[in-house]
Amino acid sequence: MSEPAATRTPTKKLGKGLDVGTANLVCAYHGEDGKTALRRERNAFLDVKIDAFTRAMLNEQKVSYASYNKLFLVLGQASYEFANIMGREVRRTMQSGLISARDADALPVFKLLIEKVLGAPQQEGEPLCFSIPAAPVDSTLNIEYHKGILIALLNRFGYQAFAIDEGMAVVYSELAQDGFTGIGASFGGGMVNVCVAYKSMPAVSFSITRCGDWIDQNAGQALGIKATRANGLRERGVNIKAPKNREEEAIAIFYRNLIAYVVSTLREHLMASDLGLDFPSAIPLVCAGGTALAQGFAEVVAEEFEKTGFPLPLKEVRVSPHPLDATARGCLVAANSMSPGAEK
Amino acid sequence: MGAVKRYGSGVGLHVGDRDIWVARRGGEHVVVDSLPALMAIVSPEALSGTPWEQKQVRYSGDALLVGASAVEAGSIPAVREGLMTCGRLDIHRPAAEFALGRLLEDLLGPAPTPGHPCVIAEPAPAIGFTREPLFHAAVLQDVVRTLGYSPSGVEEGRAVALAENASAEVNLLGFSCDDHFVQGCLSCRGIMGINFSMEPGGGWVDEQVAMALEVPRDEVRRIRERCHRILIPQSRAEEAVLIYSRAFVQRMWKRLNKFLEEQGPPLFSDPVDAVWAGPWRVPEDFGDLLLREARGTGFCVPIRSIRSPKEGPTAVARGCLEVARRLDAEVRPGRVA
Repeated sequence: MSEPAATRTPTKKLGKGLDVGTANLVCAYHGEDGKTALRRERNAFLDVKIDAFTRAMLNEQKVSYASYNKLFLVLGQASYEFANIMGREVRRTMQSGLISARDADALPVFKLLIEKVLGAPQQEGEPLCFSIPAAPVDSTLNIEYHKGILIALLNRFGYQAFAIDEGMAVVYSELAQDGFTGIGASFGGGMVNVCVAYKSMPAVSFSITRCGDWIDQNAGQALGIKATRANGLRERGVNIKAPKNREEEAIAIFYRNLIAYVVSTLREHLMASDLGLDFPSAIPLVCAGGTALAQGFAEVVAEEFEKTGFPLPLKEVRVSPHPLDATARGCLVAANSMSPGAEK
Repeated sequence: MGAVKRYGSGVGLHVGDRDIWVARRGGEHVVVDSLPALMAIVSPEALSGTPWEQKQVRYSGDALLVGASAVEAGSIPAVREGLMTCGRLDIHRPAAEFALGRLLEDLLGPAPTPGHPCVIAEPAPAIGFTREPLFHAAVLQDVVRTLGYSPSGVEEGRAVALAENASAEVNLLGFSCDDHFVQGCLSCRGIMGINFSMEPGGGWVDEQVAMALEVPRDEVRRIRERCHRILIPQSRAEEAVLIYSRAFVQRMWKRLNKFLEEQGPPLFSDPVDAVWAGPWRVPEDFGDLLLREARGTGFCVPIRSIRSPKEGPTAVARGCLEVARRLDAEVRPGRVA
C-alpha cells in the first residue's frame, strides 16, 4: 500500500521520536525554530459505505482515507468523529499496545498512519526512537513480533530505528530536572507502562494490559453504550473525583479500579523483585498518556499510593504538562543522543 | 411553459407532493424553476377553441392538462388530481406517471451533454412505518435517463443540510417537512451520519386544527402561512395552530430521540445547528418553537440553533444541485464543484 518515503536535504537538527500508542500515534521532531514540534494522529480507522458523492465530500473536506481490499477506510481522527455520529465502533490497528492480530486490515492501515504521522526522513538513516511496551505482567503477550515489524517498517521508510520502553521515554521527557530519577508511568489507550529509573538507568520496567480502552469497554457495558461513545464522553473531560452524572460516575468507578490495580501491581512488583531498590531521597512519580488527562487523576493516584503502603518514598505524584506528547518527546530525547555529533 | 433554461454542472430535482422543483446553476447564481405536480383530466370537446387546446396531451383517449395549465384552466370542468400520493407515484395511476413524465420533460429539457448529472431527492429510510419508494424512484430515473441525464439520488434531509451548508464545514441537522413526512439527516462535514423519515408531516397539524375549528384544511393552511409569529398567536385559529404545532413537534422529537437512543445516540463535542425546510412558508419564530421543545423533551443531541432557509420550498432542489455539482466535478476532472 505504501512506498518508502523519499528523503530530503536536511535543514534541521536530525532525529525524531515516535510514540506508537494504541490510541494515538505521535511524532516529535525538531521544528524550523529549533523547538520541539509535534504531529499527532488517531490510531484508528472506520470502514464506510462509499458512493461518488461521499468520495467527493471526503476529498473536499480533506479527510484522510484509503481504498484497500474493496473497502473504503476513513483514517485517523475523522474515523472517531464519524463513528461517534454514526453510532459505530472505530477499528483499531493496535490492541493492548501491540499490532492487532484480530483485524486483518490492521497492518496495512497501521503502515499508512505511521507514514502519515512520521513524514519523510531528512536524510537516509535519520535516527528515530520509537516506543514499545515493556513486558506485560498480566498477560503472555510477546512484544518481539511488534518490535520486529516496526523496526523493519521504519528502516524501510529510510530511518535508523531504535526501540525504547514507553515508561523510560516518560522518564526522559519529564524527569530531567530530577536527574532522570523517579517513576515514569504512561497511561495510554491499551496499556499502562511503568518504569522506575535511577539516573537515567531503568531499574524496573513492566506493563499492564489494561488502560483507557478497558475503562471505555467496561463503562460502555455498564451504561449500555458503545465503547467509542464512552471514549468520547471520557475525552470531553471527566473529573474522576467529582463525577457530574451517571455516565461520568461509571467512568470514574473504572478509573479508580484501574489506578488501584496499577498501584498494587507496581507495589507487588517492587516487593517481589530482589533488586533491593533504595533511593537516597524521595522520588517523583510522573503520569503521562491520554488516560491521565482526567481531572483529579494525580490526586486519585496519590490516594491509592497512600492506601497501599508503597515501599519507596514518594516526593510527589504529578501529571505531565503535556500528557499526550510526553512519550514522543522522550523518544526524541533518546533519538537526539543517537544523532551524528551527539555526545554518546 | 417558458423556454427551457440550460446551465452547467448538473441539475437538482425535487418532486414534491404539490410542486416539482428543478435547480440549476445560472452563472454565479442558482436558478430554480417549478411547476405544480397536478393534472386535469378533461373531455377533448371542453377544450375546443380555448387557449389550452394546444397544451393538451392525450392519454388513453382522455385529454390531459398538466402542471401550470391544469391550474390556469380552472374554469374548464375537469377532474383535477395531484400526481403524487404520500410523497410517491401511485403504481395504480398510470395517467399520473405519464403526466409526471411530461412535466419533467418540460422542466428539465434534454441533457446539455450526455450523462449530465441529475440528482433526484429521494426518501430516507422510514422509522416506524413501511414505505416502498422503489417504483417511484425507478420511474423518475427512467424519465431522467431518457432525457440523456445520468440520474442518482440523495436523501431529502441530506439535501437540505447541503443546501444550507454548501461548504459542509460544520455539522448540521437538516429537516425537510412536507404534508406527510418529516425527513432528516445529521450531516457530519457533509458526510451522512444519521438519516431518517417519520410520519406524520406538517399536514397533521392542518388536519387537527381543521377538525377542532370545523374549517376546511385549505383554510387552516392559509392561516398557518399568514401567521408571522407562531409563539404569539393573534386569534383563536392561530392559537389552535400553535397548540397542534407544539404537539406535532414534541411527538417528532420524542420519536426521533427513541430512534437515536436505540441505535446509540451521536456524540458531538459542540452543539449542532439545525435547519428546517418545507414546501410552505414558516413563521419566523418556528425555529424557536422547535428549539424550545427539543430542550423540553430532552432531545439527546444538543442543538444550538434552528433556522429556516430564506427560500424554504426550494431547499431540497438546491441541495440536490450541490450534490450534482460535486458529482460533475468528480467525473470531469478540472471542473470546480
